[in-house]
Amino acid sequence: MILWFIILLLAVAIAVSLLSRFPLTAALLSTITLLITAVHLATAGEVPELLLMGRRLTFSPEARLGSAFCFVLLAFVLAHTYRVPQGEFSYALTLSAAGLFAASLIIHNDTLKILTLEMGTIMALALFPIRERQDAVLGARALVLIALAGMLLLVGAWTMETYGPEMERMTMLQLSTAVTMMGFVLLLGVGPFGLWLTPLFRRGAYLAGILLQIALGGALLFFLSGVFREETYAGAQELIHILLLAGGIGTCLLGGVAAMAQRSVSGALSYAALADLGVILVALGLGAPEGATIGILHFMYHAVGVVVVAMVAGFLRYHFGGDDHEHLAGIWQRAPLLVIALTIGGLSLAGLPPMAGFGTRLNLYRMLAVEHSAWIPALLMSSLGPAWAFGRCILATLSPPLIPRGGPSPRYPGLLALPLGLSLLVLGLFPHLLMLLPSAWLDLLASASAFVP
Amino acid sequence: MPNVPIAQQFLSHVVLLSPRQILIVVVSTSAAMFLMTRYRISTVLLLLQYILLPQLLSERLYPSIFFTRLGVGFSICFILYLTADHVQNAAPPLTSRSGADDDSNEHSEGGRPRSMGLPFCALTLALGGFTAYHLWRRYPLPPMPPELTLTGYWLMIGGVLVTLVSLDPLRIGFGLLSFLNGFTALYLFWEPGFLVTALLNVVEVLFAMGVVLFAEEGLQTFITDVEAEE
Repeated sequence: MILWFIILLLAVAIAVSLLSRFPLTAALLSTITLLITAVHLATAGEVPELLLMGRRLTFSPEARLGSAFCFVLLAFVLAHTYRVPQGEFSYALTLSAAGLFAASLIIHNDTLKILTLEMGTIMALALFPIRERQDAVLGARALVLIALAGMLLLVGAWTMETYGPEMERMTMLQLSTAVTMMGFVLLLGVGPFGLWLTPLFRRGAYLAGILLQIALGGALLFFLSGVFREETYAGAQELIHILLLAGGIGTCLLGGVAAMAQRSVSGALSYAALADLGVILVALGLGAPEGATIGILHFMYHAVGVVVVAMVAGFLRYHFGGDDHEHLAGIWQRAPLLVIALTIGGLSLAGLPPMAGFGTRLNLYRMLAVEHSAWIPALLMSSLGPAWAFGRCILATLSPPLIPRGGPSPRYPGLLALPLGLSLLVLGLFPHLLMLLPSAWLDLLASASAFVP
Repeated sequence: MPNVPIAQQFLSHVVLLSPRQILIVVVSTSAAMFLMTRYRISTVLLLLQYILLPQLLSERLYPSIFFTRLGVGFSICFILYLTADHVQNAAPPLTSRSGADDDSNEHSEGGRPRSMGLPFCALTLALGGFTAYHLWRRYPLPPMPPELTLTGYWLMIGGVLVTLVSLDPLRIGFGLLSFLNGFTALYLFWEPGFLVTALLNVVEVLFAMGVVLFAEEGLQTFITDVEAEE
């Protein structure tokens, strides 16, 4: 049944909220639920469509595999939060938000999809741990931006549905496309640059950050693919491509420059993730099937990289009191597994060889060199800035400790982050290993052609 | 919507004010919310908006949706009032205990910086009102009643202005909910379906809960800071 997994996630969310005094049980239950759901989604055959209150619900193979991928990553993160607590109701909120984001993938109505996405986004934002009064203000302002983004998307969807066939209203349709894209940009955290999503990572809200970057980002890209499929009016695709390219190039440049100034793992992650998102937008904005495939594959590597680095940063902040250069000094001796995971994840986000993030970027550079070679420096900036920031952090871990350290550091977080990081290294060295995946799974990449007319 | 069983007949006994009167009252509540610094009063003003706005839409709404909107408004304002009461009672004594400079006290001014005093706010409000009026004249959104359009524009602009000049989560929340009120009023005119309205209500309640969460946690960190200083 198409709805069972959403009901399961929400039911387990209620159960774990009652188990908040037993974090180990709650973490285990949440992790196992996500893994079981992911396995079922990845291996299930054709799911029959459902009509609910006159609305069509379908779960396409691409949506199922995308959800399964996100759920596996979230399972790793939730297992990790047992050692790095993120608040009393973190498991319940994570499961609810994940369920809502996945629910948005099965609804075939843009208005309901947007409202579901908005609900999930608010749930994810509620995971933001308030450590200072400024955090509370930041959280409230993020709510305002989410409301604005939702409004823009709703207005865009309504205009498209109402005036779609009326070609004489071209200006209004073009305006609604621009409004829809502005909503996407706001929710993705790309613009206004660094205003709401970036500070979440910088202030240590790594669970909220991961959910919003990966689960919401994935759901939004899937939603965007639907917008791409429909040639609502002549020139709609071109306009979307132009907006995506402009947004992507701007994000790459700003993210790269801002990353350079960062002196902590969280800071480097926040801007590196943003710059990497810019690369994905550029790939999708090229308007070619290859570009779309590169974009989707890069999003998957981006997701793994963000999760690895966020897990490391979260543990560093929780266990060592911070993740800036001062706190990083001497970490190599205390937690080598974490440093290795940070190195691999950081370099992949920065798009440096031999990590997986480099392979997709290289293909993108090749495509750009043919048609838009002037934009390559902007994309290079999205590598240089994060590489500089992560490089300094990694070097800091090798220096002698500046702060006296206590007992031994637990290995558990490193053991969770390292396999994910190693997967980026292995796929970077041997990209053809992807072809060993079941053919149904490779459909996820094939479905990327939906991003072009 | 010719065949839709409208709420108008049913509500003829309930709706006491004309659309123009509702417009004046709602605009006044929004302006007062912008100028006032007392959270509890702001909650009451917000409740007035929730009560009056569905009446502007009574021609388009089913009775059940009308009353659901009222119920949602009461629920939101109830939880906001509890938090407003908590924040308003707890913050000022803590500030005086911490010995903070009065000029840096955000709560004593209702979460508004002192530099943005009443004259500044009055001017900003006038500018916001002018913008809303201009938008209404330029984009009247037919066949929407003009009172509804102007109310929606005004609430959205006023709400955004409140969020822009506020330094406190609760006050930002009042602006946010006022903005959402304006948008929902306009949107429900076009999309008055059950499912859309139900989800919009859930989204609004979630936004209110988010505001309450951030306001309470912000207050908690403030209390912790003051206790640590002592």
